Amino acid sequence: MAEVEREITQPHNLQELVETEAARLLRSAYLLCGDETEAQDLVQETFLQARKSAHRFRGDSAAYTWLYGILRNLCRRHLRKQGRFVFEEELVLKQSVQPSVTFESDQEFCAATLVGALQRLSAEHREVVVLRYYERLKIEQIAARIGATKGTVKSRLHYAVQHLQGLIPEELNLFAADGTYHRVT
Amino acid sequence: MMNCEDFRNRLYEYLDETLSAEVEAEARKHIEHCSACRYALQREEAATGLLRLSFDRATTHLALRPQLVRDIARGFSAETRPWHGWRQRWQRFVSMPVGVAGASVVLVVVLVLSFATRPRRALERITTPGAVQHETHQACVIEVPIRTQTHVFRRQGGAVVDETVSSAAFAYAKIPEQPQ
Repeated sequence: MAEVEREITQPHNLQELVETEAARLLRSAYLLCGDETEAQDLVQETFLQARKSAHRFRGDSAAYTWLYGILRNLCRRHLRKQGRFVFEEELVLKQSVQPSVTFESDQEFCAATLVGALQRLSAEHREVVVLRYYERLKIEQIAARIGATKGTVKSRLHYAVQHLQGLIPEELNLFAADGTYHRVT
Repeated sequence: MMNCEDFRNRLYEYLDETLSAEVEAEARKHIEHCSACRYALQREEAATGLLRLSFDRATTHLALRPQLVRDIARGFSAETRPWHGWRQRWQRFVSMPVGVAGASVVLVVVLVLSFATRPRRALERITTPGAVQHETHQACVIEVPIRTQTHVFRRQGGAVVDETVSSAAFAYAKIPEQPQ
């Protein structure tokens, strides 16, 4: 463990982490905050904080998990500063999400719609959705990552997916049981 | 025998394949007979597929800007070497426009020169003698031309005492020799 700690504090090893983990972190950050520029800034800040707190890395988890923890805290602080952390979910849930730009394919339209809808969820719900469906984590892994019980994670996931369904325009049958969707033009 | 509520509670673990072999067999048996739970399972699988695909599609173009990667690397080395901050500041100063850098140098030189010459000028003023206005056996009075202040110096024993309380220090006194 001490060896891992010593290794991670070396700048060139952190530089390697930038090369291997930055893209994945950036994509998670983008899904969590919904803005590419903000996501870039958050990832930069994540690595700089990682450098400062490298001595606290215990080495009992993967480096990505450690970096994600830092990113998560930064995201929450960032969203709180912007006043987006707490909001009236019931109010925004009534508004449907429609991307304003034109997309080349239905898949792209669908992806943009879902990412837009994701931003309407509360931070807790959004986080479990990203961890489950983007990071592809199992329930117990999500629970460990966010420090909640498995029951809480399952409950949040259930309601988050329900909310997403409510946010998607009705003409997009996104959650059809056969895994397909149909866009009415 | 697993009922619908039990199955729904274990739906995610069933998909994660983290149930024990025994519970998983019960769950499998349950959905064979329960169309509602089978539908719920298919729905979750569909949502999983769609969300994964959509999130991948929406983020696949994202990459950290090269400038940002360089900034991070610079941040790492700056924190590794404490003197780097000074070097960075110096490099920033050197890379300033010539006019700004020249003006800064001139300003610094002027400040240094004015500081260095200040005590010398004060000394010159002190050593400038004023005219002796009045002279007695024990004291002399002189006029200080700079501030026009009057001082009285009196000899007491072997010492010379300035009896005038004055803030001015620019006085010159000439005490006559005591007659033998």
